Amino acid sequence: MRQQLDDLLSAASERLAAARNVADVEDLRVEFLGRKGKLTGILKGLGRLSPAERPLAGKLTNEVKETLTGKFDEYRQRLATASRAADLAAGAVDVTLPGRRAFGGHTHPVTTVIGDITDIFVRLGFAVARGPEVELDYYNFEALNIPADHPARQMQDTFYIADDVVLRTHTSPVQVRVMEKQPPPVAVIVPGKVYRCDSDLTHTPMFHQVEGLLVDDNVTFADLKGVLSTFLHEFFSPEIGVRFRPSYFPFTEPSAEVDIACVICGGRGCRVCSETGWLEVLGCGMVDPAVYGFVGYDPEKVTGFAFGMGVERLAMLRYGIDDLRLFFANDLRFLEQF
Amino acid sequence: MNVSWNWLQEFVDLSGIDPAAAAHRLTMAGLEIAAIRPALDQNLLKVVSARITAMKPHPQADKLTLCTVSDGSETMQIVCGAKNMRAGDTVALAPVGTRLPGGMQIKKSKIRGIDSFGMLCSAAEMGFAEESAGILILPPELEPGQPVVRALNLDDTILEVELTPNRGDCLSIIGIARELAAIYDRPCNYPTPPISENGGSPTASFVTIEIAEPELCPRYVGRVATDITLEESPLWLRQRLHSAGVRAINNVVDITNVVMLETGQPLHAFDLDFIRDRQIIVRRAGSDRAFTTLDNVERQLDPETLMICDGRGPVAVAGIMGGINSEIKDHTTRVLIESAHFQPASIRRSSRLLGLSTESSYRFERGVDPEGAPRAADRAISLLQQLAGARAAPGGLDVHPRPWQPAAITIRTAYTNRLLGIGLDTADIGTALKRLHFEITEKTDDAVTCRAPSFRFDMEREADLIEEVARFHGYDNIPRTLPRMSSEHRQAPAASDRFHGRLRQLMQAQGLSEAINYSFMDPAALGQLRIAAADRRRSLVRLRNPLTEEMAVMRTSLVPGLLKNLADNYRLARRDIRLFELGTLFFARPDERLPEEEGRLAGIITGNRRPRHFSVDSGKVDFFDLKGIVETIGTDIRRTLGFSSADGIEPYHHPGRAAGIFLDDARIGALGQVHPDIADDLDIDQELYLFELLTAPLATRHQERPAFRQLGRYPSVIRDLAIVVDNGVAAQTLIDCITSGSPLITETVLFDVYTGDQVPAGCKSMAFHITFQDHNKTLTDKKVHAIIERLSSIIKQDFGGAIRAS
Repeated sequence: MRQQLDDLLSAASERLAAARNVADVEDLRVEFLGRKGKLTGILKGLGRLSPAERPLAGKLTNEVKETLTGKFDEYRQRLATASRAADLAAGAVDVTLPGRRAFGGHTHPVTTVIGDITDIFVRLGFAVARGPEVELDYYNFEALNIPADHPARQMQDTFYIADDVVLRTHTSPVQVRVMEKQPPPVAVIVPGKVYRCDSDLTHTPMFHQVEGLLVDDNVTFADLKGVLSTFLHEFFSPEIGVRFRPSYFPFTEPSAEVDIACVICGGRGCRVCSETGWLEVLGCGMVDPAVYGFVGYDPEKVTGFAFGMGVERLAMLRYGIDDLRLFFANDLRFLEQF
Repeated sequence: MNVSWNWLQEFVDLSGIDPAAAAHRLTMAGLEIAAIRPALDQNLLKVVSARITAMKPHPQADKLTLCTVSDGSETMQIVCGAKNMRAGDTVALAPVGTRLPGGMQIKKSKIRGIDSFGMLCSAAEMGFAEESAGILILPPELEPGQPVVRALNLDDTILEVELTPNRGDCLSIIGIARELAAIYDRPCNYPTPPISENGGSPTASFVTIEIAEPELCPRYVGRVATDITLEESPLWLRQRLHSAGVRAINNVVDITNVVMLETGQPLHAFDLDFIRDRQIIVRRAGSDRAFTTLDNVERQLDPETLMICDGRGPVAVAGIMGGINSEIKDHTTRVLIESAHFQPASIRRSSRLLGLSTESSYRFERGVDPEGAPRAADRAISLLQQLAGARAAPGGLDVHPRPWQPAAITIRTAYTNRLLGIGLDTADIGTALKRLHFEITEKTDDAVTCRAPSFRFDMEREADLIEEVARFHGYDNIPRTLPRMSSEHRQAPAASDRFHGRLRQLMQAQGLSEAINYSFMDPAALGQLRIAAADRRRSLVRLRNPLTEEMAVMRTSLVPGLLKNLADNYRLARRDIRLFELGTLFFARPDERLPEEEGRLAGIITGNRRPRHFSVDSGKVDFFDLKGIVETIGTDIRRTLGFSSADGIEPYHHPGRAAGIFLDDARIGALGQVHPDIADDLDIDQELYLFELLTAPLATRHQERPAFRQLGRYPSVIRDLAIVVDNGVAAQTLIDCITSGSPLITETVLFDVYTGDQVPAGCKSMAFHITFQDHNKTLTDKKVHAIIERLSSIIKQDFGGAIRAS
């Protein structure tokens, strides 16, 4: 009996060692441990033993059964693992092959820049206002303190629709429209398209501006400096040099141009900044009392500032774009870079 | 304007000040210096003075001379083509290795067989005169070996000033000198020019002056110089003109120009012999129609244009340009110097009408010192005496019908500080104004009253003075603070702004890139798109002064722009093109001055459905790719957009692959394949798909907040139904029929459309997933079955449809 069991065990072990897969192990299990298997055959011989031998034989048989079961499990596990490993190996792909993609659309850099400018000013507490692009002469010029024969009209070559209707040459007319509509305080920015009758390497007949206006009872030139410095530091970089120098606009006084340290040479002087180390990025100033007169605000009660910037110029400086006309050519090789 | 550093020093002591530092201070005081550059080519420093020790004719060439010159340390032989030198003259020698401003490189050379070791230069060759007759002869006392430009004090620095239109007072050397004097607190001196009134007859005997338009010409000063020797101006004067970019002509004209550059007061010199009837009359052109200016162009005059006339007719366009009839000629001996003041607006208007802008008109347009005329005239006469041997007629004429009255302006300290955000004392304000040449008339504890100097005619109000004080104080010295924003400032972003952002996201997510086109349109584009004559898009807003006919009107469609962008990219060998634009259209309104401005979204797609991939061919985009893009917008506003091929399609679409787009039964746009004829016109051999729609109605819906519905607690049931109908039956009518068949049907999805052997000819089979859901109880098969039965019979009845499978 014992001999039989030992033979069975070694035969099973030998056969198991030769098993190639989980199915072989299962076949062997049936052959050895199944209902009609070899162990069952041996167990049938148990009846021929004397009662005294039986407990021991039974115990031995059970031990063999447990050992075999353990072995089968072990082999099944081992072969299953090996089989999965083989499957995985066979299923490997070349991960450097390209992915299956959908087309991705790109945002126009003008939109991105307007969005960034807007976000910064909205966080500072400004709201967004808009106005018509075809505008009355009154709003575009007159109410901004630019009467008919003012030299500033020649600073801005104007497209005319009729004697008193123009394509707005700046977003500033929206200042007047907003102030006409609401009493102070006012804090708005105005992004939008503007038009000038000019087309060459550095001018396009349409471009984008963002205008800003803050009017309240105690707004100062120092506030103007603070707001615009904050903006430029956020838009370009916290380290960038910013300076304000006196300038002239008919609808602000005092007026200033705002320069940033040249983004190309860092302020040492180069071709882009005409060796000055500075780049002009913004025009601004304290709202001229004459403008308050047009909208019925009392210049003794309120003060305020206004500013305006060219979106394409900021985009060119930020991204290093060297040709203004690219913004309106809609060449995908350009658009896909943004 | 170009400003010579050396010239400035005639009026203000700039010793110890570096031009670059001064340029910075000027910029920070509001006079932007756009560039600083050396006046002359630095290579010119190699050109040295040399003495001609001997001269003999060139043996091979009559026109050449062999000069032996010494630069003090070496003696060399030079072949020279000029004739104006003599042995013993000091001349300008460009030794071998010098590069002259014209680009000429001086090399050792053989000229007609004789070695030459350099070149003797003319002023023109050295780049500080326009033209020269002969080489430059230097003062005899000049030692050989000195750099010529240094010796002649020509080694100068030029500041390029970019002036704002309000600072006409700085359009002169003296103007800039005054600013520097204020900045550096140094005196600015421009003494009265010395004149010896040595002419025989008084000015009034030569000419009388009458101003018919005192508003346009508040002042006219005339002075007469006689016995003039007309010749080339001396080098220093030509060099000054050159530094400012003005061409030298002759001593008389050059003097008027140099005085204008120096003082900012434009002058004109008339040949007195050609002033008829001894009369000058300042009047409008009136019936004088044509006038030939001294540039020899006959100009048509507007009757309102202010003219300077003699007894018979015009002799100059006031403040802009003189006439050819009275210009200075080679034999001119007597001149009338005009130094007048003209109203800026009048000059601006005339200049614009004539299309003629000059150094003179440029200054008058911006305003000239109303008190500066007599001094400028005197300065010119003084120079004519020094340089042209002129005799000055005693007693200049000064007709001054509208004297200048400076206003008294008060600046309040508290208001100034409140506006600027600083803490100046009244004394600081007084100091600033005094340094800026204002006359203080009254000073209290909290205000200063003053009169502006005549050259600051732009000063009218307190705000003007505050600006002066601010720029004098220095913008750099004003702190940076953040304003306290009151809650009333706060406003939520407008719905349309937020929706536009959302539309951009939706378009980009579907692979469309954003285009921005000009708002202009070629009016011919509407014909190319076959837009009907009565269409609203023909209500054009036309520009009076378009840049080109292709940009003559404001756009009434986004389509021409996108088609052009597509064609441009196609020409660059792109085949997969997907673009959108979010823009404004402009429609003229008969009774309104301003047009209607409407926002539109348009998109165009062509080429592969997906980027090429090795594993699969995605196929080309078709109508349903386009429709899917548009439907996504509907999904985003929780609306099902309607599409109808019967209604509202565009003439530029393929008639069988186009539809009007509807939102809540209102047409908001159209989509479809671009008509193949139009694609052919663009030379595009691909199907193009295009939509355009109104954004405002979508934005309104976008604002609506979604209303939450309970999720179904009972399981839903899905049944499939295949229906065979005639090809002409539109899918949407079947979908609508099914969906309206029972309130328990929550969704109907068409998942298959089949034509072929399995269905009769002229028919199609459409298969639907139909979702049933009861929110109150679990649906039974029986109930669903009953609904399907009912639906089947309705479909049979209404569409003649046969149920193929369910």
